[in-house]
Amino acid sequence: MEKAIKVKEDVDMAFVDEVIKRWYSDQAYLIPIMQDIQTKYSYLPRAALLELQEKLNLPLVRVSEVATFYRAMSLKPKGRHQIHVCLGTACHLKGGPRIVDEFKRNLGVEVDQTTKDNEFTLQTVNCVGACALAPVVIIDGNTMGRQEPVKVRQLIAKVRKAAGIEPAPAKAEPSQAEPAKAKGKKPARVAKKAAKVAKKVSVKPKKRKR
Amino acid sequence: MDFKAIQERSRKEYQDRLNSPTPVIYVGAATCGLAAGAGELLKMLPSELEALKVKAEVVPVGCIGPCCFEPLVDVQKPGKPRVSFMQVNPRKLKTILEDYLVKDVMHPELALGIVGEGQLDGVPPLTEHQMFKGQMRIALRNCGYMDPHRIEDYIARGGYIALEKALKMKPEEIVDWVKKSGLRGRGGGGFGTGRKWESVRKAEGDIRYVLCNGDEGDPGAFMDRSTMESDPHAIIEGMIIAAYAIAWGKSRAEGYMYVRNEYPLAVKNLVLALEQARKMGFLGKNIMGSGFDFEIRINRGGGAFVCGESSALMRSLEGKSGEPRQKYVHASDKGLWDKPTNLNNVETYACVPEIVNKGWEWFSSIGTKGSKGTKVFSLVGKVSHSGLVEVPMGITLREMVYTIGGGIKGGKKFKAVQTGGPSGGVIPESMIDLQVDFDELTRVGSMMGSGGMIVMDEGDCMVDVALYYTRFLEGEACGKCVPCREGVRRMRQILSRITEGKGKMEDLALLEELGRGIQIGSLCGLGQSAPAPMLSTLKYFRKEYEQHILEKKCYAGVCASLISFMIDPEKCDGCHLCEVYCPTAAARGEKKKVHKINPELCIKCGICYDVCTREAVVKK
Amino acid sequence: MDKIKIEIDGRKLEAEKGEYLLGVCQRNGIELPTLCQNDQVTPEGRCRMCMTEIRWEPAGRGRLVVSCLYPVDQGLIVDTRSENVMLVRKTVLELLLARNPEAKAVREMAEEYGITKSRYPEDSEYGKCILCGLCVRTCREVVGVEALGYMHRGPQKEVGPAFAEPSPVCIGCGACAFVCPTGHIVMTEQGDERKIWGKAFKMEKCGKCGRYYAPKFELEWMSKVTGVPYEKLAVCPDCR
Repeated sequence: MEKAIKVKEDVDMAFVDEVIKRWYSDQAYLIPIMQDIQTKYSYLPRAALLELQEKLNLPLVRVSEVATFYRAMSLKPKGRHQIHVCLGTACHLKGGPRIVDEFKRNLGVEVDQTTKDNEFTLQTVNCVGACALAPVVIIDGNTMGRQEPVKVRQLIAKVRKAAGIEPAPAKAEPSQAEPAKAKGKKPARVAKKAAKVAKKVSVKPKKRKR
Repeated sequence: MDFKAIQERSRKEYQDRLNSPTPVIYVGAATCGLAAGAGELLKMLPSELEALKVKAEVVPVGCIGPCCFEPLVDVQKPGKPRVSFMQVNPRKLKTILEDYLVKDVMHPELALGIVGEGQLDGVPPLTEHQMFKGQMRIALRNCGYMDPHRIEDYIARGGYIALEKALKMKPEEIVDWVKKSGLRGRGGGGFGTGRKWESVRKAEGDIRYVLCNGDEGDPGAFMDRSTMESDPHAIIEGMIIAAYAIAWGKSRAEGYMYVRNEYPLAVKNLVLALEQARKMGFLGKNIMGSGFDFEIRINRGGGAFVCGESSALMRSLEGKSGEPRQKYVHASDKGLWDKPTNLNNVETYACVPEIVNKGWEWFSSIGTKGSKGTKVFSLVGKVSHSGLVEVPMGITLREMVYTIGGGIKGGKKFKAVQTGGPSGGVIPESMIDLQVDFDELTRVGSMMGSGGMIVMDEGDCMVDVALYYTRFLEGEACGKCVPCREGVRRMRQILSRITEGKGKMEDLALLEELGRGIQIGSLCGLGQSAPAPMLSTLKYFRKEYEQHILEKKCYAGVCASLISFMIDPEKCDGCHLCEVYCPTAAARGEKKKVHKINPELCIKCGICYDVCTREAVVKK
Repeated sequence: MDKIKIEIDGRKLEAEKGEYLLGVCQRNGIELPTLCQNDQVTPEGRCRMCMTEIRWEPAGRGRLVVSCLYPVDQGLIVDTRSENVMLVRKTVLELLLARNPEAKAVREMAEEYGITKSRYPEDSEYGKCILCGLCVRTCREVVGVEALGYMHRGPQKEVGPAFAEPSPVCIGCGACAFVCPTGHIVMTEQGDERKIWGKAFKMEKCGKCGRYYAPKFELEWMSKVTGVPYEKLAVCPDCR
């Protein structure tokens, strides 16, 4: 179902004021204040920023500067589910960029973009400190180590299932569509076989690691 | 407050748990443990225990270090030592509970070792394990042993005794002890901590700020995260002692802990610890009845590596963007809000209580001439045993990689160790007997940094490593000064071209010249050290650069434009996995027949290489 | 303040302890290139052009410092054109030349240092802005309106009004365009309208000569800040 993604700036000012008070109504805490607002709205709504400017008595350029300087802050709304792929050094060496590529391919978005159905936002992060368990992927705050490019499809499917979302109106992925056509098998069966095989593959002891 | 009474009560609670008549199950639940799957285990435990009709206490603990063996679940049965089981998944958990917990049947192959006292047949003490034998835990003394949510655990294990002692000493004496101990900043700068405290004390100001740098921006470093999550009180106690030493008798003091945005669990545990410390009287007004007031508040980073730099951190604490300041006037005179400020790293503060407890002579007896004490390293990358290790300064790289690290995973060939994060450099095999300390690492063109130690093998491309760090720094540069903002970007462009087979030999000379210009021209430490990864890989692995340029080959098999994947017809058994997983239908074939990769469709994602169970996919 | 003696390029000079080295040089006719500094605003050390090499002993270790921010002290020895200093200046100029090929001020200064072409690929998306920050500081410290600031970081850093939208507080005085060393900031005037940073201002006519000389919004603001009645300000500076 096509949903027009209109930015609803329905900001609860009482909430914003409460956050400001929570951080001592002190402009020194501008960053945690912004973060708490973003945690609720997934981004920094302009109305909230204007409220901050007024209540903390700040020049607007300062609000604009801080909101755009820090990576964790976003002026654009995010999807319902946030994916962060860690690109710290250990994760990079162990295939983090390839995992990013897999997510890009499977979701059809670039980094820092949200899928058309507004479900997933793909982002990267510069080290969450679980380096010995590289590569690390975080979905909706849930940190998962020892990930692999082949597991990406499963990860996305799990989120969809848990949230009750139908599988993506794909662009049928070529590798699944073509063999299905060639053998006259239904795509669903091929997908099921892939899932079975995926389970087998991930449980098998890895003979070689990048 | 009655510290003696608190101590007695805490010790009793702690001992009661150690001698509990019912089993106690400890689960390593720091971020690394959770990332490995400990969260699922914690969810399962109540129902599993109920099903087995066993009453047991489940205690979440922090990280004891060996992340490669996580999830760690420790089972302490009455009368038996605490046994740590490694790489526990739901299936193994069931086995451990049914067999060991209920039936007393031990599977030694599932156990990592015994934590703490006691013996058990077939299970050696953890301290005897190859990864632990060479370690000496000062900053990490409590991590993994105690429940970070219980201040009583901390006190039972000796917490706040140092504070009590320090509050009875003269502040100048404490500064002197820290100077004599030889403690140098553990965040990367390696500046003498005692000297820093002394200059802040000497400065003029009606308030002194005591800051803790919990930004830990170096990718690959997570010792601060682990300490903040697993033993928050060690840091808090260190900060209070520091505040007393630099401010008592001079001015009032205020403390701030600046924690990286990407560490939510650390923030959570610190907030709880601060509340507990406040309630008991270790923080706030009239600390432990001494008349000294000190409060600590937490502020958070917004996702900026540059905010690990002290002046940028202070700007961030002031609610501004993280642009560093040209520091011809030191922060010890004019720092946060232009007042005398002391900034130390998490690990530095964590060492302080031990120095007060055990004396400066003890600390200075460990380590090398120029670098005293121990250092926590995050040993990660291609080693078998990856995780956090704390070792005396002066240990050799060889011992770190081959003994503690258990050698290179998969039997591959060691290539280099990268230290100091994006500000540091690589150290090749020829220097593997280097004794690790501040000055030695700097001497060879790298640096200690936060203690990240990333081990690389033959499958890692040094040009790619240089490109990775350069790209990282480009994205993290604040943009204030020209050499760093423009120069690092140009370095990345050149390195990128080289990894795509579009490099020229003149690029190498240009990189060296540009690198030097950035090093000496940049405003802050980020820019000044930004060329280090590139310059150091160029110095020790110049041949690799030349191969990328002249032969257009990446022998390590990393740079996508310079490698190709093909299937060895002798090994392929037609299992069809590659085709199932290939995102672009480049890998094709009929089932049970030899498959082929179409080089025109292949995007070099390497998934076929990962899934092939016959090792038939070959990287050229 | 205490008077001290320092040496710059072999010349023995007097200075006040703690004053910035750049001021001492300029006062004594010693030329130092600058791109991000002027007398009216706080120095920040963004461009690195005024770099010099200092030492405390004739044979002592040299250290590179930006003279716009370095406080002098007794016995300072300064070399304004050492090898390292020249490397920094040339590096900066070559980098800026590639970033802002259209900026004449950069081209001219680069030529002085023997650089006519940059070895780096030319950009086209940054206009003539060298991110010196003079506009930001002028608006904040001289005008007092603080309508300009920075957004983003690293190579994507840019100056402009908040959220890159027309500023509610900008008074259209044009001070930023005046101080901009490269002419990146464009202020246009047509008839009774002035446009700058995407905001249009209706201009006031001078009561005496009839010339359009200042935005009404600016005069309103000045009136509010100074207490001087609007009518008194509604006469152009030449006719006052």
